[in-house]
Amino acid sequence: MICGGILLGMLVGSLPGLTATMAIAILIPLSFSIPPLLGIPFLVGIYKGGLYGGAIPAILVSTPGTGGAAATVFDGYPMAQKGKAKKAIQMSLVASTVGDTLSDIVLFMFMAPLAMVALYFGSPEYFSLFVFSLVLIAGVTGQSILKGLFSAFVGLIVSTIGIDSVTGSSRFIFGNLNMASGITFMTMLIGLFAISEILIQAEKGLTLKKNADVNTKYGKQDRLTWNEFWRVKKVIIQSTGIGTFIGIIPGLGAPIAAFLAYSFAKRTSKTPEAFGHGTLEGVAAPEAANSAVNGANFLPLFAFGIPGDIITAVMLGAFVVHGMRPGPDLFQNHAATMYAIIWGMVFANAFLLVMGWALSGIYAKIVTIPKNLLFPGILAIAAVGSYSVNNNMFDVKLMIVFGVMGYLMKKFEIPLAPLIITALLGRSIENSLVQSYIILDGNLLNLFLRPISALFIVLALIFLALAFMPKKNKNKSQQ
Amino acid sequence: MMSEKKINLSIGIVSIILSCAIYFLVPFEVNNDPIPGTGDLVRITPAAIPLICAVAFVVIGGLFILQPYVFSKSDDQDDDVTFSQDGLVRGCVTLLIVISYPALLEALGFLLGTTVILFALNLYFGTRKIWQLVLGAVILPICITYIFGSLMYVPLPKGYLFG
Repeated sequence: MICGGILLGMLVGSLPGLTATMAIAILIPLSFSIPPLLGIPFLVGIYKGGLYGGAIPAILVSTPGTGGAAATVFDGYPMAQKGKAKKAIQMSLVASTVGDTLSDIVLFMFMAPLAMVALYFGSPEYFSLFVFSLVLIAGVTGQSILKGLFSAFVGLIVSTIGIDSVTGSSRFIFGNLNMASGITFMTMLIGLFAISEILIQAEKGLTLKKNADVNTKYGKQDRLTWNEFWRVKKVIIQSTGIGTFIGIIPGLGAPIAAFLAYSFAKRTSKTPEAFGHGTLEGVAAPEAANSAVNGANFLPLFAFGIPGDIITAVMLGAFVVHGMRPGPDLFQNHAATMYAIIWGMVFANAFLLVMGWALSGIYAKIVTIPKNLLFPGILAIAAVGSYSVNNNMFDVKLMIVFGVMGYLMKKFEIPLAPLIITALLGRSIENSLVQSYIILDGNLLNLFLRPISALFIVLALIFLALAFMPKKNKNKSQQ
Repeated sequence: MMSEKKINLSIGIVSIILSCAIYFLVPFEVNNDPIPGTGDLVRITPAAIPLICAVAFVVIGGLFILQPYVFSKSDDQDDDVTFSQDGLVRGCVTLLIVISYPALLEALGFLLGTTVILFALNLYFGTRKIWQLVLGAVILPICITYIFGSLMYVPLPKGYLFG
């Protein structure tokens, strides 16, 4: 199942316009019929394969397949122009695998202790943590914190639709029984990612220039040697550290890690002038960092039940679908399954290395599949995926509504991550708010009397204040 | 092309409209009785989160509208959103095809409805080679029907014309 996921992930990642998040959203229904021990690693395989696959078009046609691979273009594409595409792709594969494996080890070591800490959290602490995480995610996932907050509150209002779990009364269902159980999360995801992308690609005209060099010269180039790998080991290790650190912080994600690692590698390099002209370090740094985000990203999800970014939010949905609610209880109720899943994540890296090494030539050709053939197929898979959740045509219609909403949000550069996270966690946020309200005698200011709650709220306020501060100096320096 | 100021103004207006909509819908669509067991201590109702959202949308909308005046930003930093006429037409036609898909599924069933829609979309997106049309509009729906219908036992819609 992991191999299948990696194959699919690499396929999706290597096609610009398709993302691993979209693939997971569409393919979660495929994992319904298999146990979580197989279903979750299948989705993890898509995630890992997708993240690596994004480097292939970045190197070959200067079009990153995923946001995390954007920094790989700087040196990957010049290497391809010099006739070293194969070496660059193999470097990205090795760096990705090493970064991801080390990050998974960090996850393995720290998730249980962190989950034990989370067990001591009461409702006020959880509510404060939710507020802090949401402010952070809203602030860093888009260009403006206002857009992030707008997105977060849209998600929160979406989460209220349906029967209220506390009182059993209905909210915003407009007499439609299909909405009584709330908005189907998978339907929302598929609409926001797949349908919106179809509309965006249709608006662009669905064109992708074919790169003749990709097909004709790829197989005849030099491979990556052991000496070359050993020469960049320091860059890979330091970039892995950056990626792991960034991954733990909610909201930052792979693109930021990749750019930070790239600029750090350039600054600490003995030959910074070589960066941007096709150097192996310039490929290794962003790829190790964006993959190292993988494992670390799961830390807040597994320990606190709070996803750090959009893809872990989608994975949270997958866990819920399989009857496993991430958070401290996960290790009490599903410890064996969880450790098996994490070992699966580590083994997935080994599979990725072998399969990526063997199949990168084939995936190099997939880069040139015409989009006019691809996107109609995605519509069909998206529709059947939405329908299969409840065997209900209403969900297909809802998918289209969310597709239009996603299209407008992408067009106006409103980040999707805050919406998805609040839509998924809205009920938990509401429950923790209600419980905190009761525990704190109806005065939320009493949150400041509890040290952990106070810390999170103060951090959130500081972050909000910083986000709204005028950026005149920054603008001047950029000019 | 829309400048960042116009974008912010648009989002601000949408945000305030959303707020008004929630505020006026709450009395009809949300139970406002206190949550059982909390009435004597504190008053919190199922309408709390929707009303918090309504207030937040007003504040966010107001900040969006006032943003250019309060948080001044140099013009050369503006991020424009481009809506080309051709692109909008392509987007709208695609959306119309997508919207007609559920109706076709209900009428013709999954296999036939999907074949018709994929054929239309492929043609609209510029696919002209016969083998590509067969692959994209005939073989793909058959494969999906087999995977979801036969392997995963999802009862795909049969369509009221044939079911």
